[in-house]
Formats: sequence, structure tokens, C-alpha cells
Amino acid sequence: MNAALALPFFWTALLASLVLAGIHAYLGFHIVRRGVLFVDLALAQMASLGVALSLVISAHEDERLTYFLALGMTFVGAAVFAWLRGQERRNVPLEAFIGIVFATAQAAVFLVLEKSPSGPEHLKEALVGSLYTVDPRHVLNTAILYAVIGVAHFLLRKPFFEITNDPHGAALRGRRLFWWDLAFYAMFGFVVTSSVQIAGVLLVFGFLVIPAVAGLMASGKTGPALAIGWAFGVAGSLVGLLLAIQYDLPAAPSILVSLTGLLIVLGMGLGAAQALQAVRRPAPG
Amino acid sequence: MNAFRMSTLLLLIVAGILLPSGVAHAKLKVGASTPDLASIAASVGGDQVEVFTIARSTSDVHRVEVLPSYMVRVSRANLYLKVGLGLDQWADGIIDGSRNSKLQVLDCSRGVPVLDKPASVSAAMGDVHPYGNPHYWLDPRNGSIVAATIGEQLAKMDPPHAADYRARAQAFAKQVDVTFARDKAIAAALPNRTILTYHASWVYLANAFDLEIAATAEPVPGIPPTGKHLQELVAIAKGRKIQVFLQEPYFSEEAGKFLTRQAGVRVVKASPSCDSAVAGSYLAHFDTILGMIAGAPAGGKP
Repeated sequence: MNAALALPFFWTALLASLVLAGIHAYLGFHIVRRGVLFVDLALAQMASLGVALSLVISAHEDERLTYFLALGMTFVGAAVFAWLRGQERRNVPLEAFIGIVFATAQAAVFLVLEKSPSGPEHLKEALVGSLYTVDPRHVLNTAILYAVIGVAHFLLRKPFFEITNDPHGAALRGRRLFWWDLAFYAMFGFVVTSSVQIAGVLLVFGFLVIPAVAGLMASGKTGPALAIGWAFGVAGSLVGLLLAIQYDLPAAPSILVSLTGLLIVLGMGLGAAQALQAVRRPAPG
Repeated sequence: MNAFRMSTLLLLIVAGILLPSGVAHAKLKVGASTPDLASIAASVGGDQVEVFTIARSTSDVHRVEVLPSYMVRVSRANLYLKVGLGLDQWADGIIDGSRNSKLQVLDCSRGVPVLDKPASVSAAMGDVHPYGNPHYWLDPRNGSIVAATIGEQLAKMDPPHAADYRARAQAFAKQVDVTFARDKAIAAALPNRTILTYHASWVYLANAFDLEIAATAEPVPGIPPTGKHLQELVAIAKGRKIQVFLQEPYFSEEAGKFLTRQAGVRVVKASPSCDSAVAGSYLAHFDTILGMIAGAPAGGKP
């Protein structure tokens, strides 16, 4: 079909998107249920603040310093979010604080870089990602990290789902919300720090939210919703990448738009199915 | 060899058969990061090469978004010409992704006298290229050096035509001399040879044509102009009666508008890269830029 399919970069990009789609559809399920959609953008922004700080501390590109500072800043964000959820806040939703963290981290990046302009390009790269040119070894390392986090989430699924679906009940039953939330957001920060480097902020947000929303639209039950979310993420990646190759477009925006396109199709399909059901069997009352 | 590699190889072989193989054997395929290198390669390679460029005249060569077609084109190329000096690092991703084991990569900055080479790089200096200023093709005399480098490389890769390549590189150097003399005369006739620029990309041009860059709008390379810095520029422009502010089309227009309003300077928008990957475009570009600095209407030449 297209000569680009014969080159390994397509398969690396596809593999990377599938790895990302896998963990993000799952984490997205938690995020959407909790109604903290922009926590991912806020943590990604904290990570880039860490990157910016590393550029001030050291003029040489020290990858480990950069990584740990980025990770450290996301942990700071994680601690803030976990702590905020424990507070009784009248009238102010958590989302507002997430927005504040996002904007402040962004502003801080500008302030920090004003004093050390060596790396705006480096930073931009980190935000846009590079699906076509990502190193396969990097994808592999990321996959291993995600697998570890996935296993941890599987083993701890009971408390994690409790604090997501029914935080008040969990607290009444004696769950320590702060620590579970901290663990959740910290693991989330791990994932976001790595995935933003590969796919960029925009697509990571798309992978997180769109498949989860698709799953929740199609089913109210956790299991089926997760399964549909995964299938949706895989389909979106495949369609988006093939379209990008066919029409010679950047990968990340193409996948994001494809995911949304599929979501619209799914929404119309569900609407049609409901209408059909209503016609066949008129609702009582 | 695993199944994945095997299938990739098979696909590649199939692709190779499907391609028009006659053409592939007859001509060397030369890819270049910029239209300038491609144009020089077209002049030197003549009928024996087929050239293409990744960046266009309108692209910001500092950052180029990698697209699938680039890797496909490079996967079929014999030679890739890099600008080097850290400018086109994105090309490495394309070269890697093309998985072209036969590809030769030539760094065209080889042998070019590099300007602005920092003694040491610190974060305070901005987005400085540690190897020196990489916009060397904006001195036509460096074009001659690049032509010679490309000529030698092509001669090595295609020995039967070695003499042709060398002869064309020399002929190109003669054309450079003619263009250089003509445009130097335009520069010499300018009422004021002191100019302002947006980015530090015009250092080689200024050096070649005896222009003086009084200041750049970016306080340090890669950082957008601040209000205070622009005020200083206004003072410089008024004090030294500067008339021209030279900038790339892809940078923000705000600084230029401000300087026009406050100091009456004329904004000259010129791409640092020539129009197309054909022979002659590289040298014609100098006529265009100098003409625009001298006051030719910006839209006069496409």
C-alpha cells in the first residue's frame, strides 16, 4: 500500500502507541471516574518544570538529572493532589486546584527559562514527542515500566477502585485515602513522565481520556468498559497511524483526531441502538 | 535473524522490485537537509544525480517535523547531505528511520571556516550552537567549499564520472565569484551598511558583504525579544540611522512592527534558504536578498 509500511519506524511507532494506549486507557478510567481530567496535563507540566530546572542547574545535558528532577516535580504534584482531596473544601472542586497547578507550573517554566534559555527547543521536543523517531529500546524500557505499574495496579485493584468509585465509603471502611491517593498519583506521574517524552502532551491526554470515555459510554460496568476502552485505543492508534502514513502527516495529532472520530462514530452508533430499542419496546411510563 | 527482521527485509525486497529500477541504477540519489545544499549538489552532480531536499525554503531549519515520506525518500537515497554544526539534528532521526545501510552521510560543514565559535558554552548564552554558527551557506564563498566537498564525495561514489563532478564544482566556484562580485557591489552602494536582524542567522551574510549587524532582536539566540531589549534597539536604530531590519518569515512580526513604528526601519523578510533544489537557485538567492536589502519590493521575486 505504501512504501513507509516497509520501514521499521512505522512498526516502532505502532508498538509505542499500543504500549501507551494500554496503560492510559486503564488509568484514564480512574481519571474520568474521579472527574480530574486535567491532572495529567498538570503533572506533565510539573515534569517539564523539572526539565527546565535541570537546565538551570547544569548546562550539560545530564539525562539522569533531568529525568529525576522531572519525576521529582511530578511527585510534588502528586502529593499536592492527594493532600487536597483529603481536605474538606466547600464550593471549590479539585479540578480548580489542578488548573492552578497547571498554570503555575507553566508560568514557572517561563520564569526559569528566562534565566537560562539554553533549552527551549529541548523542552518543546519533550512536549511534542516524536513517535516516528523514537528509539525502539526506549519503547521497550517504557513497556517494562508500564508492565510493572500495571501489575501493581492489578494486585492493588481493590483499594484503587474503591477510592476511585466510592471514596467516602472507602474512608468509612478505614482506607487511608491520602496514602492511596498519593500512591495512585505518584504511579500516574511515573507513567506520564515517560509517555509525554514519546507521544507529547496532547496525545497522552487523548490516550488517557478518549478510550476511557468510549468505554464508559458503552458500558457502566468496570470490566466491559475497560475492555472496550482498550479495543478503542488500539483501533484509534492503528487508524491514526495508517492515515498519517497514507497522507504524510505527523503521527500524534493524527491519532488524536482519529480517536475522536471513532468516538463520534461510537456515540452515533449507541444513539442509534438506543433509538432502535425504544422503537421496538416502548419504555414503560 | 528473527521473523520481524525477515519480514521487513522481504517487504523491502518487494518494494525494490516494484520501484522503477532502471532509473535507480542510472543516477545517484542525493538527499539534503536544506534546498541550499540540494541546489549546490544539483549544480555539481549535473545529469548524474537526482536531488531532493527535506526542508523547504519556508521551513525553520532549526526544527523540522519528521514526516513518513522523508524516511521513505531517504531510504532510497545513496547520499545524504547534512548542514551539520548541530543545526539539523532532526536529520539523524530521518536517517535512522530510513534504515538505509547503503546511505552515505556527508557533513557539508567540513572545511568551512566557522564563525561565532564559543570558547565555552554556558546556559546564559542562550540557544547557542556549541560548534559555532551553523548558517554558513549564507556566505557564497562557503558555497564553493561545500561544492568542492560534495564533488569529492560524488567522485568517490561514482568514479567513472569523477572528472565531471570536479569540473562542475570548479565551474560552480567561478559562478560564485561572479555572483559574489555583483552582490558585493550592491552592498557597497547601500546608503547605510549597518542593519538589525532578528536571529543570529545572518552573521555569514554580513561578513561576506561587509554589512554590520548592530544588534539582534533576540536578546540571546532562541529567546524572543523583550520590551526592554526592543527599546534599546530603537535607540541604536535612531542613533545610527539604521534602515533595515532583516528577519526570517517564520518569526513573529511583532518586533519588526514595533521597530518600524518607533524607529522607522524597514522590515526585510527573507528566508535564509533558497527557493528550490535546482541548480542556480542557491546563487540566485543572494541576488534576491541583497536586492531586498537595497530596497527592491519584497514581493518582486517569488
